Amino acid sequence: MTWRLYRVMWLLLLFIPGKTWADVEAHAHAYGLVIGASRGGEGQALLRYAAADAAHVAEVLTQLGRTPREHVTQLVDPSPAAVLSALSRISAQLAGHARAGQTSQLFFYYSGHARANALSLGGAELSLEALRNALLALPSTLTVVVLDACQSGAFSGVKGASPAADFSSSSFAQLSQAGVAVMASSTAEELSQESQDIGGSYFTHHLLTGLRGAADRDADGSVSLDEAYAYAYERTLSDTLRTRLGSQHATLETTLKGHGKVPLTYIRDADAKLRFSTNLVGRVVVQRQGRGAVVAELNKAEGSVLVLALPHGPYEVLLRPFPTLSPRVCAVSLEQASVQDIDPRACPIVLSSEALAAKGFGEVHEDWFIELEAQRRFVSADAYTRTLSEFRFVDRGAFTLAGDRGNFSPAISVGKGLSPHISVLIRLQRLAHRKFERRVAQARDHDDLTVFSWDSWGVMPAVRAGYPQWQGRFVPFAEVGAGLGVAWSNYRTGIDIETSENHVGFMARAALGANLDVAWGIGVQLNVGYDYAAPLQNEVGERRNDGGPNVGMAVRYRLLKGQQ
Amino acid sequence: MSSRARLLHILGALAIASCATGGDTGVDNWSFDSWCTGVPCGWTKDAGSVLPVPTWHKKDLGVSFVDQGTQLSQAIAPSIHRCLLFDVIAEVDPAAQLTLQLDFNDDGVVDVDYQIVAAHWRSVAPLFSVPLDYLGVRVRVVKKGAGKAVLAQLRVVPTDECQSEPSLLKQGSTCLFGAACESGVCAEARCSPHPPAIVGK
Repeated sequence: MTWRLYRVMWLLLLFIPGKTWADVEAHAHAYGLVIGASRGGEGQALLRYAAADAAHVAEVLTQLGRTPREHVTQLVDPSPAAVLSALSRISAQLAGHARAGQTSQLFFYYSGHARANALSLGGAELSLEALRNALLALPSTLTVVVLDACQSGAFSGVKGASPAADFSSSSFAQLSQAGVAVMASSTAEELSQESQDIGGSYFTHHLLTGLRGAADRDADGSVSLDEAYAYAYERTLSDTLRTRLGSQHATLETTLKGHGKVPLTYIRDADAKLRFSTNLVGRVVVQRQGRGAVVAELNKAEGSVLVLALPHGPYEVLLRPFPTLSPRVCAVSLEQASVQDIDPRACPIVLSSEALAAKGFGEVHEDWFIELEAQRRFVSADAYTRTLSEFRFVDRGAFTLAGDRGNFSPAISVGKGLSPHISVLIRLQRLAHRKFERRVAQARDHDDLTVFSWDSWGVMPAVRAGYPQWQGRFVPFAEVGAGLGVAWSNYRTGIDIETSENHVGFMARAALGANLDVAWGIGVQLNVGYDYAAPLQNEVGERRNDGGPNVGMAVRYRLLKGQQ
Repeated sequence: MSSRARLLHILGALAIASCATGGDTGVDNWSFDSWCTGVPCGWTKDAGSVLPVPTWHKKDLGVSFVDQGTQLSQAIAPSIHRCLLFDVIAEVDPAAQLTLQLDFNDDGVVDVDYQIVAAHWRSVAPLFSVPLDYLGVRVRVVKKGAGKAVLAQLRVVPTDECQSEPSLLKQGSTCLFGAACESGVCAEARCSPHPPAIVGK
């Protein structure tokens, strides 16, 4: 995952006294200026998703924001002069509406770099003061300003690594007016993050999903400013809790005059809709068919109907309904002016990460897993045991963990899938428990029994390469690992001499096996392998290999990791 | 010792031998695990110096013959079996010339001299037949040369599973019958190279 640092995402609402929101909603002539600037200044890394974020915002404006397409201006990597020029042209149009007594609104969106008091546009800067003055001078009734900006670009792509309050607080201060609402993607102390998995910033991604209907809590067919903020806040915080840079709390400050809600999008205007029933609970990802863009990604709660507004066309809907977590994919063709209900029971289960990847859902594969295994080891003699035999020790055999005679040993593995084909794991296994005895005549009237025993274990990291078959239900694999073998030996004579020692040695393993999914993430595994584990060494320099050939059968449980 | 006394000694030993069982009458402390004031318990240090040293395990001790000429010995009671199997585990440099000597009847005369050739703690198992006049044996281990010589185990197992003829006693060994002697002559209870002189009147 790459990320960049966002200092602030701004949502400014400039309200001109004398007008109510209701008036604006009914009569607004809407315009949009959407800017994506990938190139910042010196020392600022090239942004990966700024232009894409801007394009997605333009799409939502035209589809659901009642903004005519010809009224939306998109700029990619513009100069400061180009930005001001675009504002000037829009200002002329807004002035025309004002002269005609008509209400109007502008949605201004910027995604790119920024420093403390300016936007970074290539090698030039547009000061916040200049931007503010230009925005305040607009003769619009309502102006919505969203700034998704980075303060600096670090080597890793993290921007503004020091969470200074410079940009956000200075911008707020500079743009603060009566009736100003500011929505920031993070607090002044936090960093804002971008995700490679979702192809954009967390906050923008969830804001747009919310604007498409996921945030319409009162189901009135529109998404208001408060609803969009609450949804984006919750989802952003949830996703960033586990990231390296830590949690991200969006902020909203408003001083709005008027009554009622401030609608941002109108779901009822949608070209087509997807509808998810009250009973569906789980994760939902909606993507254009094939390897198209993700248009919505959310967690569907139980007890409410969810409607997503989308343009008509073919989509694929990936569902991970709780509690099974088995992914299902529905191919949906949204007709114009239609509402399509999604029934997870009618969607086929897809377990193959390759199949899911081919459908454009990225690397869906095994995530964390745990395996409990019983191994049968085939014990053989070696120089170590032959020396024991030379010294007249009699082999009393192998013992299980329960203390019974037998060659079965347990093993436990915990691992994580890195890709559909590669997993890494940590394996702990019991190798052997052996006992040898010797009777020694210390005097003609009594014998002493000398007992030598040891208990050996192995622990090691391993890599497993699999080749999923049958939609991922059956996965043959090869596994190699290397780690440590540990043994505890005990030498006890009849004259109460008892010596315990710890031994450590090298261990390696190679195995072939296969996993078979049964249901609910539970499956079985069969494997054959060879271990080399020789922690035990005698005074002669001979090592005991407690590994050797083995077969194992395991019960396993796994989670699936999908496209985030 | 006078010949009369020697004869009584032999008869007494025979009496003991006649009561001997057919069981294992091997050496005590054959694994050298027990030590008594610097000497393996049950053994006699006849010369030189010995030390306990680890063998395959630090607590499974063997006896190291330190000096050239070091000797350890132990007397073993007689048995009714015809042969003695020696089960020896040692780590010996060839130059050390660690030798197993058998003094049948413990009369001070070495009747068998066998060099132990063993390395890497692998056992050797020489088999020796006892003489006709078998009254016991003193087992002696001698380091004749210089170099490493460590004895981990020395067991003696009486057995009848041997094909060889009875050993013949060397000159000077205690005897009852001439057939037991290498010379074929047992004079005054000793193996002698020639019969005793007959003194006429």
